[in-house]
Amino acid sequence: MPLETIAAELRRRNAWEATDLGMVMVRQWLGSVYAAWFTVALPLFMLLHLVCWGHWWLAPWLMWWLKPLLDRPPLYILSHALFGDPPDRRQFWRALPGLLLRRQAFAALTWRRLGAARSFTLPVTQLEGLTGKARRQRLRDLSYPGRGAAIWLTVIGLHVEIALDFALIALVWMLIPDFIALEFFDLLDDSSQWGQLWLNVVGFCGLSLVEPFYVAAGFTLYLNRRAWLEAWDLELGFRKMAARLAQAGRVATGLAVLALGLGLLMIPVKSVAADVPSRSNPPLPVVEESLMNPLCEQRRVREVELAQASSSIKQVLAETLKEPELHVCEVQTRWRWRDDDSTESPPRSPHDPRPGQWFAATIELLLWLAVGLFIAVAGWWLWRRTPRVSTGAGQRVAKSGPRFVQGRDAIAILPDAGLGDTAWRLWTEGQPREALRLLYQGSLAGLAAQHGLPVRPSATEEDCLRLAAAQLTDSELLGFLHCLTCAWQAAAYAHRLPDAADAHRLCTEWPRHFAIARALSA
Amino acid sequence: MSARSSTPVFLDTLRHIETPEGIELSLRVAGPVARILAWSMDSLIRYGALWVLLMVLAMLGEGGMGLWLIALFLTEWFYPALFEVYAGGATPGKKALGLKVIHTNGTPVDWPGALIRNLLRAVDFLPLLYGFGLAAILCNRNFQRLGDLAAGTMVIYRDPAAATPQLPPGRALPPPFPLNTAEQQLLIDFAERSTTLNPERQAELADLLARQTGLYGVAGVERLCAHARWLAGEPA
Repeated sequence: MPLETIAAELRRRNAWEATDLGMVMVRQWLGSVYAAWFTVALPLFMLLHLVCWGHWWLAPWLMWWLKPLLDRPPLYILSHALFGDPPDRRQFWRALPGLLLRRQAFAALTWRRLGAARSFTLPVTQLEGLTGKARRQRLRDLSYPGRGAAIWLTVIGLHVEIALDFALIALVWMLIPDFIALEFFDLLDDSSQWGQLWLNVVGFCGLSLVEPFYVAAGFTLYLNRRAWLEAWDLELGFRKMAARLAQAGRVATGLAVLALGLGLLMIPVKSVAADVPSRSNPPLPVVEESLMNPLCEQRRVREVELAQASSSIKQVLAETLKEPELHVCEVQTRWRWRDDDSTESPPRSPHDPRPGQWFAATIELLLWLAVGLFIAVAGWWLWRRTPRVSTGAGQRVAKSGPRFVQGRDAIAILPDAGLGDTAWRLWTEGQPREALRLLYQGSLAGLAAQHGLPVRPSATEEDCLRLAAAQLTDSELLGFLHCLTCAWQAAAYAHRLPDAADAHRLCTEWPRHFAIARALSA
Repeated sequence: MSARSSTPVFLDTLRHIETPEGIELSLRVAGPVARILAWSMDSLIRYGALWVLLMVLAMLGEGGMGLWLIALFLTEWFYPALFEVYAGGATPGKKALGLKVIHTNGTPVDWPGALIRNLLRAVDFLPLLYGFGLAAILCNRNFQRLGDLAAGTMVIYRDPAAATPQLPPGRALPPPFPLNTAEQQLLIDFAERSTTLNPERQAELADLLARQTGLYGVAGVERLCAHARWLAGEPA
């Protein structure tokens, strides 16, 4: 059993993962495994019905009893395929009698028939060919923890098989048309000869669906156990490592010879085979020497690879271009509109008298109307939202200016020259936030009344500033507004008051910006 | 019986995922046996709890039965989804078997995913007793049932907590040849597991590298262990 040829990844798995590998194995070699299964199981099934003519209820029980023999052909296929030697038809037929009649077939059918870990012990019997004491010892070595999982596997297999039988019957029942008045439970009726035969066929299908997977899962449990115990993954890894290091050593040797000026003895690097070291083949001293200096060796490897590449690079390129990976042919299937191909659909007359057409046309019209309405409403809404310079709207808003300022108390503030003094008085009386609020509200009212700025009730402080910046040209006023807004925001939201000098400056400046403008406009 | 194919196959149950950061993850996809066991365990828990609840609520008469039916509905449809979203992708049964549900891209399962995969149990259950579900699992590369396919989820084995290697004591020696990461890991594995192997097998394995170490038998084993200790970070 050469491990290098194994067709499965060797890693340490838990027991359930091992059974999963069994499922993957059956999927991989589905055709040959099932061919092997039916080669034996199907004739046996028919033979049993012939033998038990008239007592067909006996056939499934005998079939069940003979299961240990039926398991053997699939295991034969799986074990050979896994180790890179899938048997052909002739090999299989030659092996078949031995599988069914020898290898402790009698024991398997009598005192070992009810063993709960049947799938796990089968490889020991069939593949290792152990008997008696050796077999018992081997099973004891392998037992834990694979055996527990194997027992669970048997329990699950049994239940899944029964469940699948019911599922198959239900599937057939679902597919029976209504006019055949059959109830589900009529399909379970085994009182007649034909009813019994039907149930036997269902049972055989269920058995065939489960058994190869069961055998494979038991086999992989056994393999996994051995891989743990004998460290197969380590063995494979060490072999690969030894091969790689040996090859590296050979390359270094070749280069050493080259370096000595004996260029005629150029050793072809690519053809060096990774042979497996053995005890009868003691290591060459020159290999050892070069291996002792890894850095030097690595550089030499690279050099020799480069030298090789430049001479034969075109050849390699040509070979690479021939690789199948570079000639990928893809078939894409996709849906497309039937109208793309005008020849497929016959041209319809535009005036189709069918009522469906009128209905469809009406619906379509209504849909287009709805789309139009939606666009109109959206446009109107956008138009409403956008702040505009248009004088009409501005005046309308401006007229209602004093009413809305910052929405709080509906104090009607009319911007007059005395507002700055009032604010300063409030400040000195210990109501600084009130003072700033008065200033700010007054400014907004002033902007609305004097400069015709359409300030909305919903506008934030930033909105007001932006609006002012867009429409006013007086940079001094803008600067003042900016300072005032900052002071107001800090006081209102952060409870951070400006110092008295700043507040005083704001109070005294305020009339200059608004009251004067008002006086001018008045 | 003509399974002879030209391309070498390499069977495994891993699913490789590359994260956006360019890290390759290998997830161990879980197959039918473990999942059937987990499902059975969950069913036992669920119906056991419902049975106890029935005993209690039956004393309340018809109103109690109404409550019980509501509880039946809720557990039937939301028991798995609830655990999968809030208990790290695993119902109690899955947790016991070391399984968990994740999206096929490796991210934890979320509400939509868990709901879809569990509501579609109804489809997997068809025609009776999970017939279609089992067929789908066996046909699918990632062992996904139909609900998993619809939700873009899969069931994997959760990784055991990583343990620091326990190497047998001894001196440490740097390996005389350059080794790649996989080979370094291999040497450490060997040292770690050498205690579970019998001496003959240990020597057999070490002899595979005899040409490199120049030592056979027990001496070879000891030399490889010394390299492993050096690779594991012990001072030379």
